[in-house]
Amino acid sequence: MRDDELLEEDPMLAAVVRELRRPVAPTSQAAERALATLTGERRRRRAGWPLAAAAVLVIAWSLSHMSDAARPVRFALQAPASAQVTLIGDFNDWDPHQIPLHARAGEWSATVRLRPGRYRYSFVVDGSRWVADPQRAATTDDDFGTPTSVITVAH
Amino acid sequence: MPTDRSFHLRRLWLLATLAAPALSAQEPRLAARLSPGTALEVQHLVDSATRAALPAEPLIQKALEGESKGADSARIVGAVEALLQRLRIARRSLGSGATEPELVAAAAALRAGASPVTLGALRSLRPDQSLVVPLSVLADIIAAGVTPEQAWSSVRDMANTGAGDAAFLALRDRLTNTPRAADALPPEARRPPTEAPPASRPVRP
Repeated sequence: MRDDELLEEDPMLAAVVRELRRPVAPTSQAAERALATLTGERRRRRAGWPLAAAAVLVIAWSLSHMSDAARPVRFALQAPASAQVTLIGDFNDWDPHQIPLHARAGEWSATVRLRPGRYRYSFVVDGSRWVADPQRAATTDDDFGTPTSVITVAH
Repeated sequence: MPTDRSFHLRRLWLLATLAAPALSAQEPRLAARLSPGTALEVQHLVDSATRAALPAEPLIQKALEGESKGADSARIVGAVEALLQRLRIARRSLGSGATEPELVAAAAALRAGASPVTLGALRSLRPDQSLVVPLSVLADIIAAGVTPEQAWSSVRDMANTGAGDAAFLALRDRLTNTPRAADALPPEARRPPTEAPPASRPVRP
C-alpha cells in the first residue's frame, strides 16, 4: 500500500502529516533566545580566560617571591654558667621577653625564621648583660654603645 | 545658647575629623615603649619617612633598640634621625625600585663609610639581582677594618664576575675572619683605589 492511499484511508493520519509538513517560520523571540544562548555561551567561555590569566600571574609571582620566603636561622651562645639567655634584635622589636634560648650541654640556642635581609641583634644574659654573638661579625652601626652582632640572610 | 552649643559641637567634630588620621597612624609600639615626648618626636620622623616612601620599620626598630638599651631621649631621636638620613641617601643612590632590605643594607654600608656613589654603581652592576648581600658584605668588610675604597674594589670585582650571594658571603668571611683583614684581600683588590665609579652610570629607577 502506498503512502497516499494510507493517508486517504485515515483522515486523522493525514491531518497529522499535513501539520508536520507545514513550513514553520522562526519568530523574532525564538531568534533572540537562540542568540542569547549563543552569546551567553561565549561570555562564559570568555569569563574563563581572566581566571586562567590570574592563576598564571599568581603562580609566577609566587615563584619569583619564593626566594624572599623566611628561612630558619639558628642562634647559639656558649654560656654554661648562665641561668637565662634571650635573643633580641631587629626581628623582635628588641624585646628581651620574646625569644628565650634553650640550654643544652652549656649551649643556649634558638631558631628564628627570618626573611632575606640584614639584621642586628644581641644576646641578653641573665636579664642584664648584653653579649655579642662570637660566631658572627660585630657591627659598627651601634648607636647606643652595647655589643651588637649582625647577620645577613641571603636569598 | 543653642547656637553656641551647635558651633562648639561643629568645631569639636571638625577637630576630631582632622585628628583622626593622625591618631590612627600613630605607631602603637612607640607609644607603648617610649616616653610620650620621645614617641612623638620619633613618630614625626616615621611620618616623614612614610611621606618620602621610605620604610618606617627600620626607624621603629632603631627607636625600640634605643629604649631597650636604656638610651635617653636625645640619643634615641638622634639615632633615628641619622638612620632616616641614610635611608634617604640610600634611596637616591639605589633608585625608587630599591626594596626595604636593600635600603637597610645600604644604610649600614653608608654608616660604615661607603660612598653613596658606590651604591649606585653596584646597582648598575646588578640591575636585576638583589643587592642585600653585596651591600651588607660591603658594610661588614669596612667594619672589619678594610678601607672603604678597598672594600668597594673587592665587592665591585666580585659583582663584575656575576657572582652569587654565597660568593659574596664567602668573601666577607675570608676578610673578616682574618685579624688583619686588609691583608687578605684578593690581589686585584689591592691595587690603588680607582674610585669613585662614574656618577653618570645609569641607576635603576
